[in-house]
Formats: sequence, C-alpha cells, structure tokens
Amino acid sequence: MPSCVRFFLFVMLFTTSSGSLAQTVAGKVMDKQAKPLDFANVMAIETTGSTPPMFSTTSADGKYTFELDNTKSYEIRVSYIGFIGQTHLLEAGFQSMSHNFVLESSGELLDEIVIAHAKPVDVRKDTITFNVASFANGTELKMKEILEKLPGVEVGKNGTVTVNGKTVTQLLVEGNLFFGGGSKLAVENIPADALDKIEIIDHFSQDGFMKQVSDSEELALNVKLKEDKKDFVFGDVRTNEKNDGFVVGCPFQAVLDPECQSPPLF
Amino acid sequence: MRTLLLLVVFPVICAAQNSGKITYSISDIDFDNKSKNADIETSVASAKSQTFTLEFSDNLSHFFYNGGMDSADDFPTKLARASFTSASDYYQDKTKKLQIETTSDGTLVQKNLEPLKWQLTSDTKKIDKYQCYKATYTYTFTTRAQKTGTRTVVAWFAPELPFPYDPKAYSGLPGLILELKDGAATYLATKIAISEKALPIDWPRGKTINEQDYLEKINKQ
Repeated sequence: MPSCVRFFLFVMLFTTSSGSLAQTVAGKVMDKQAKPLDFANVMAIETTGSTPPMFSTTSADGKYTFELDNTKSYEIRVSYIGFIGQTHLLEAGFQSMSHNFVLESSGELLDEIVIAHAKPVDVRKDTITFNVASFANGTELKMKEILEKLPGVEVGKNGTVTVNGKTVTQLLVEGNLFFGGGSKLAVENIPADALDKIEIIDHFSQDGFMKQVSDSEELALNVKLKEDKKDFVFGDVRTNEKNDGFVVGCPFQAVLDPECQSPPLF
Repeated sequence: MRTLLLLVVFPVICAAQNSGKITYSISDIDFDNKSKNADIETSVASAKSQTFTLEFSDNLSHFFYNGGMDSADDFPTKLARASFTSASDYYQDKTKKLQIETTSDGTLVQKNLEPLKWQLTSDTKKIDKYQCYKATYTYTFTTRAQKTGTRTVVAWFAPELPFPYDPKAYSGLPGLILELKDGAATYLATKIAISEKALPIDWPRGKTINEQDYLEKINKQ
C-alpha cells in the first residue's frame, strides 16, 4: 500500500471517529424539475428544544449548509411558499453529509391569511383579564411563577396575592371557590401549563344578581383553565437523591375536577 | 407540442405565489408619558392607530405607511412616525442585495442588504396557529451628541410562513415576522394577502446617498 494512501486512511480514521466535532450538513433544495429554489428557509431544530434553532437561507443555486454538533439530534426543516415542507431527521452521532430536498408543489393557491392575535390584557368594568400565553414562556411550573410575570400582580412569601397593592380575598377556579378560597394552596399547586386566562375581579360578589347593588370590598382572582386541562392532578412527587425505592415527601396530591367541586351554597 | 405547452405554463405557476401584501398594525406603544404632554399623548394615540404594508413581488419588497398624502401634514402623526413607528419607507431587492430607505425629507439612502445577525432563542409561542420562535437583534447607534448606545429588537417569526421578506430595514429571518418589538412600538402582522399576479413595485429612481454619508450629513445639521 502506497504510503500516501495509508496516511489518508489514517487521517480518515481520526476524522470519522472523533466524537463531538461539528459536522457539516449541506445540500440543495429544489423542485421536481430539479430547478433550485432560492431563499428557501432551512432550519436545524435541536429535538429537545434546549438549544436555540439554527437557520440557513438557500443561495441562488438552492444550496444550504449547517455546522452541527453531532452529540445532539436535529430536525432539518425546509419550507418554501407554495410547496409542501419537508423534515429530515438527524440522529445523534451523524457524520458530515449531504442531503438534498426535492419539494413538491402544494397545489393549493393561498389567497388570504388572517392572523388573530390574542389580546394580552383586557380591561372591562371591574374585571381585568390576562391572557396567560402572552406572558408565559413555557418554563413555568406552577401558577405562582405565572402570576409573578403579570403586570401589577405580586405573590407574597406566604402565598398571598396582591394586585396593584390590593390583596386577593377569593380564589376561584372556573368560577368556583378553590378549597375555601385561600390563595396559597392554588398558587403553589396549580400547574402553569393548565392556565388559559387569569381574571381579576374587583368588588366581587358570589351572587351575580346582587353585584349591581352590593358594594363588596372583595377582590377575586378567577383562574380559567385550558379546555384539555380542566381536570388535573396536582401536588408534587419527590424522590430522594439516592433513589433507594422510597418516595419521600408527597405533601399533597389531589385531582381537580370542576364538576365534582361542591356547588356554591345558597 | 405537449412539452411546448408545459414550458409556457410552468413559469406562470412559478410566479403565482410570489407576490402579495402583508399588513402590520401597531398594537402597543411602550412609552410612559410622565410629563402628560398633550402633544405626546395624541401622538401615542396616533401611533397606535397606524398601519403599515409590506408589499412583495419576485424578490423585491416595499414597506410603507398606510396613511396617504392628506395626513402628511398632520403634526401628531408626523411626530408619532418619527418618534415611535417608522418615518421612512424601505425598498429591498433580494437578488441585487440592495436596500433603499426613502426618508421623510425625500432623501434616498442606499445600503447593502446583508442578512442581520439575529440571535435565535429557544423561546417559542403560538400566535394564532403558527409556532413562532423568538429572535433578538442588538445594534449600536450614535446619537447626535456623539454618545453610543445599544438597542435590542425582538422578533417573533413563523417558519411555517416562509416569506423571505421583512418589515422595515430588517432581513434574514427564516419565516415571516408576526410580532416585532422595535423601540417603543410593537408591530403585529394581521393579514397576508397573496396575489396571483406580480405586483408592480416602483423601485425609487433618483440620486442616492450611502448610509454613512447620510448619517454624517444629519449630524452636521
């Protein structure tokens, strides 16, 4: 074997076996007639979502290129107006490679797209409604963390909630008193991802009919849940560090089903 | 004969989905008017009612204020555009990689259109049914008093809407910007009208000045 070939194989051995080096993933985006698509969007999305996505826009000859860390898995997504998008999955451990995308025309002609933006805050008479999705970033675990992000809302150490300096006296879930209306239990236990809207109702009265005439000093916080999260298990399950089979500290476990809650007393 | 027919039809299909108009509305002006100045009050209100259009056709785009000529002399509107929203129109040419800004005094400021160094984050949120990613872009600027500062722009873009056009002087995100926080103003894309015919975009003609010279000229005044 000539020495130059041996040297080449030797180099190859190192470059291919090296663990977490950045690998080049490149290719072309084209249509079925093999015409390159320029300005196509190509995104490399890390599958766990823990690192920000990367993107590349195809050049005039349809080429894209990425430098990706092969200890992670990625989804390479291609999209182009008027064509059906495609996804190519790269499992961890991939090598430098070339992947071409041949996109098919979606056949449908788009006409008009209207984008409905949810209002973050809506103030109506005595009620302020916060649209939770406008304030949350998805990393919150409990309702407390959401409340702290709402403007004018503060959560005290003992679980009391104040809105513009005024303390919340009634805590409701879907219009029903939540375990007696105390806020501590709710803010520390209701999972953040179940929340849809938070309503702050001033001069609150349980009896809707009396509301017009009563001059109540009650400030209520009503939690509206997402359609698919109307009944949820809440509370924490914790295991100890050694994980020797014991489940430690399970202070509170409950299932909330709005229909099972006691109706308001008359 | 059949191939000839195909050749004729094909370019038409290609061009069909490449032009349209995107409407941007101002949803919020993040400005604390401490002095309670009445002029500022009305210009904040004016800014909130403004809408802008991003028109695009075959790699050309034009971002402009939907005001019309009659409101051009209205002082609160002018003030609102200069201080909160956008006082200029922007033309971008993706193939020639050029941008022309037509400023309120009619100057044509030309610069090279480079994709901006956006910082993508893993924050996502849903706007309507579109999964949007958050991207930020930080730039430095020099004030008239020769002080430098930095400003961060936040954009939420939707990869599912792969229109390669951007509002204002921005460029380079892999998807349409549905929400943009630029200075005090929050822009929301509210409507996308796609047209089957190519829209004529009148690329500005006249004497242009490059960005560097323009900034020097402004600072001298």
